Amino acid sequence: MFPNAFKIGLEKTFGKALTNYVYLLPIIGLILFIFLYPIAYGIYISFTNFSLQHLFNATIVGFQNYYLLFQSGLIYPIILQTLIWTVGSIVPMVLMGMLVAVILNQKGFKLKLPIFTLILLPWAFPAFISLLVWSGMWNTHFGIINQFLSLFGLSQINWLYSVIPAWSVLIITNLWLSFPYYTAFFLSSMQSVPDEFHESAKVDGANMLQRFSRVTWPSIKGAVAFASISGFIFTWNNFYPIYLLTSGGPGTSTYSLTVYAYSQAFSYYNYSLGAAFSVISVVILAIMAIFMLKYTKVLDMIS
Amino acid sequence: MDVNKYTVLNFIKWTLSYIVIGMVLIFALFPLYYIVLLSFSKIPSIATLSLSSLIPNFSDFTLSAYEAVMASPFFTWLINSLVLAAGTVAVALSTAFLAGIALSRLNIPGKKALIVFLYILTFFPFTAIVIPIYLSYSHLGLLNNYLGLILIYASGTAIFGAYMSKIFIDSVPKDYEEAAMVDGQSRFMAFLTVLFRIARPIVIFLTLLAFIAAYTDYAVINVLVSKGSLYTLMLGLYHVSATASGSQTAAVNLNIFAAFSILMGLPIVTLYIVFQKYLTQMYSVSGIR
Repeated sequence: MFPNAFKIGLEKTFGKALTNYVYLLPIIGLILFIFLYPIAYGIYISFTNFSLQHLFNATIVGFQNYYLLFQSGLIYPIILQTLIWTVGSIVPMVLMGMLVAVILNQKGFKLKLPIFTLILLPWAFPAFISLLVWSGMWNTHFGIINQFLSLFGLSQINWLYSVIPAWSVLIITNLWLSFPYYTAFFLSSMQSVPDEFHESAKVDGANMLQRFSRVTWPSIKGAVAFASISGFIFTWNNFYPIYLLTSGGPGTSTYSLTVYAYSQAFSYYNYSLGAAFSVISVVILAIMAIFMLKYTKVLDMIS
Repeated sequence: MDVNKYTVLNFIKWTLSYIVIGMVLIFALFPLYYIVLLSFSKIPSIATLSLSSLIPNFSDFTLSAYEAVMASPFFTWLINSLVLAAGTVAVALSTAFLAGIALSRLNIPGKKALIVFLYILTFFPFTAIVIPIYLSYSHLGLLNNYLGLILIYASGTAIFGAYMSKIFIDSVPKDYEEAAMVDGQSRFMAFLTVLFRIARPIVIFLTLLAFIAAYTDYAVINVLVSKGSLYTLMLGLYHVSATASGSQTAAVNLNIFAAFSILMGLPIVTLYIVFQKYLTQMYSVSGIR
């Protein structure tokens, strides 16, 4: 009784539209507290010289950190590497997720449910632990992968000492971690396509590829766009794989913006430079994401 | 002739299908097989590992690694992890669902701008906000405090969850909750009882996400918690298997690390298997097309 009376009182005073905001109060409070204030503070830090030397006497230095990043030219290869990391991870994940989903979704596929359960396991297992396990498997001298390759007469590959092997390590491991998510996503959206659609296409003489492009694809392409874009954003910021597998090496050749920002802050105590890196990373990501969201019309779906 | 060609093609299709799935399964399961095997071995580091250790040899099976895990405060850490995860699920689900209802059903001026704005905020990686959060938490006394952690874990899932709930609720006809309102329920209760029930696949998906966010976190808790009594399984794992050596992967206690990982992974894997039915329904009900 009381909450209703209270609500009517509120509506009289502020109008209905405003009371509707009550539903949003918890999430807005949470976001203000966890995101908005820290982000504002982080942006502020990027305009100061906050670091280990200036822990208690940081002053505002304007665009000096940003100037340093672009002047030294250091940031350009790291932007490129972040793109390689993100696109190089997402494309195989989506393709493999799709392939597995298409195969499992075939009518008459036996043991679909148990196989699907087993395929979900890499995604279900704590990623941090899996990465430690993979890191051991890639070890040059003792790793099981090199031992296995030696069966085929291949000499030990030093995975972390040259650029291409280091990227292979990152992309293969990341594929293992995430492809099940895409399989689950795509399989679930394919199951919303009624069987009759496939049957009638079959009757019309459509082959497998035609059935995919005319029946399956149109009904799942929204889901593919949604999954790919949210995956793009997640991978862009995904910190653990690079940090635990290559730590950005060899040299700085596999650093992404996020991991570089983190190591500037926590390994070199250059908080302001790290903050500037983060800000640039988010600006680039936001521009690309909004462009993709508009282009694929996902923005219409969520708003 | 035609029938024959069809049978041959069909045979090729199914053979290929099972070969590809077989290879995918080997890729997916090998690392897990590898740690299960290690957990029952005496192998203390990868330096003593060889290809022959990949073939299970039952006479060498030992539970010593599991005994070592049991000798650690495993169950204290497990309870801490579960408390943290449960709190995260509660906060994430309630905020996400309320926001989803508002964004989908209610008249809110500036809704579209708000949605895009919230979405862009999630682009900031944790690494960008960890220092400011650390500073503000130390002022507010939220260091070494589960409430502070729960708010962080829940916020990520809550924003994503608000979108998922919003898209889903868009696809549910309004008559459903209007019928409940005619039956005399308040609007809020109508939303809750009707939508929450139909939305079960999404609720379960979000529960899993929130649970995992809290249960498997290392980076956040490592910065914000230093008190041993507040350790979770993730910190405990690190503590038990990796502290002796500087680097995580050259851990001296490889078999203990493996046994700990298996025991720690079990609750999540169980959740996945129990809720798997809903996971395959989630997107078909979510209205994402």
